[in-house]
Amino acid sequence: MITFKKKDILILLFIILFSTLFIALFHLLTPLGNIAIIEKNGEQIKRIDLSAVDSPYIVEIDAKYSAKILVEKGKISFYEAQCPDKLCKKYGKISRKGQNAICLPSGIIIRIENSNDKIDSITG
Amino acid sequence: MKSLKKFVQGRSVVLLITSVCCFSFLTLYICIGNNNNLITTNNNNPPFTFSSTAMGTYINQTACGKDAQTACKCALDSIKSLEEKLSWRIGSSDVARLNSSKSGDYIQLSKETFDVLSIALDVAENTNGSFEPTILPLSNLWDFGGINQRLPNINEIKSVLPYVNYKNIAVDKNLNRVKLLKDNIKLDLGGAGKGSACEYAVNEYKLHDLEYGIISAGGSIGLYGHKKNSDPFKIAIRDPFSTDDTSEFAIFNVASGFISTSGAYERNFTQDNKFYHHILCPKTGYPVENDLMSVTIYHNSNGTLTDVLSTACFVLGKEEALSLLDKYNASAVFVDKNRHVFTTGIFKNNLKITNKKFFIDN
Repeated sequence: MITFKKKDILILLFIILFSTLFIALFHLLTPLGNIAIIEKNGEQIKRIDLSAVDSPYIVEIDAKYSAKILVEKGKISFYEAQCPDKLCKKYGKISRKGQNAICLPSGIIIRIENSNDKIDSITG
Repeated sequence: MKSLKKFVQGRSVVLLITSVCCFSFLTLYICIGNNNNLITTNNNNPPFTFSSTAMGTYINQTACGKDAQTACKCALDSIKSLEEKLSWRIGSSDVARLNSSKSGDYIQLSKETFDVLSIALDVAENTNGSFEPTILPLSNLWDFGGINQRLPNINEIKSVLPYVNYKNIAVDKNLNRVKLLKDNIKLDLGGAGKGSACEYAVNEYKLHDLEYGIISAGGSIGLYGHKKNSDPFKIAIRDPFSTDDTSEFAIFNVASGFISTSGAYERNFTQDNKFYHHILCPKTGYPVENDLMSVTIYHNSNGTLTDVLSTACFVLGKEEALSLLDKYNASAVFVDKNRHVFTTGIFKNNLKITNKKFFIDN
């Protein structure tokens, strides 16, 4: 029978606390992304500058299972999905560089990038 | 648990904790080092952005400088006053007065209208009428983007074609006046208006001594000044196959000047499985049918010209457009239906494709 002494528990708690704190810090310090890229079947169909979003809006993507994507200042998420598994909604609101939210059944991927190639204007 | 107890009491625990701490701080340090948000200093002057509508399109301005706000407002005012002179829809405009004039009567134009018309006529002459300032009777028939948008029948088109001819405009250069040589000649300078608007805005940025200013008027762009560290402006070209107007296929760097794009995606409709877009061929009366999807033009000083040339080059097609571009010292990007991209002048070795489906084919 293993018995823990007060000191054992203390050191375990310390390790757990520290690692949790560390993971949280690591997450917080991952740079925020400014560009959301929406891809359908591997093809980029939309590029949104998240830093320039004033008020939230919804983008509807027409796919095998169409999806509604909620765009907010600095973050983006699957809002409504027609897909059977609804796993895409579980990704929640993504905002940090390298994060992504994927809806496999419909072939829609949202990626966050941090682009210094910030475009000044678009012609067309 | 004896060993653990011993371990806890021993020196090794101190070592363990210290090493964990060291490792964490090291990683933390690297994290912060990588985080641009924390180490870069903010620019001293945040740019001012200003969105509005004029000339039936969105006008977006981004300006940096002490008088940025005033400059943008002045720019919008001068664009609106230009519209009041150029728009055939506004009864009191120069163009509307000319359109309702009797043939043979001289009509006095403002200098602004006269300048735009001169450029339009010059390009019309150099393209043998592939660009037509007198397109209004024809474009009204189709009314792309309007409430009467429809496919006209061939007789209707044939009946208006005789009135689509720039040679029916006679110009008196010394007195800024113009007369029509035939009744029912009607001008539409819409193909030059947005490019011209960019020029007027850039002029205001210059007057207000801004650091830099960017105007975008319905796809035409005017650039003035220098960004921080003299970085060039990064301009994207819209993906002509996408219905989303923020989706691009390529970007390029440019220091200053004017850019306009004409594309088949702008105003169009499909009837009986046939696609009709708003760029009309003045000779046939029907939308231009060639392999082009869009043409983007750059010129270092003349915005009106970029707007006019983008339409003219679209109508002419790539091969014929090249000599025209040379003549006006303008550069172009042609995108065809197979997503092949052809570049000239400043776009060569500068245009960066961002959508893998497109490729440069010079």
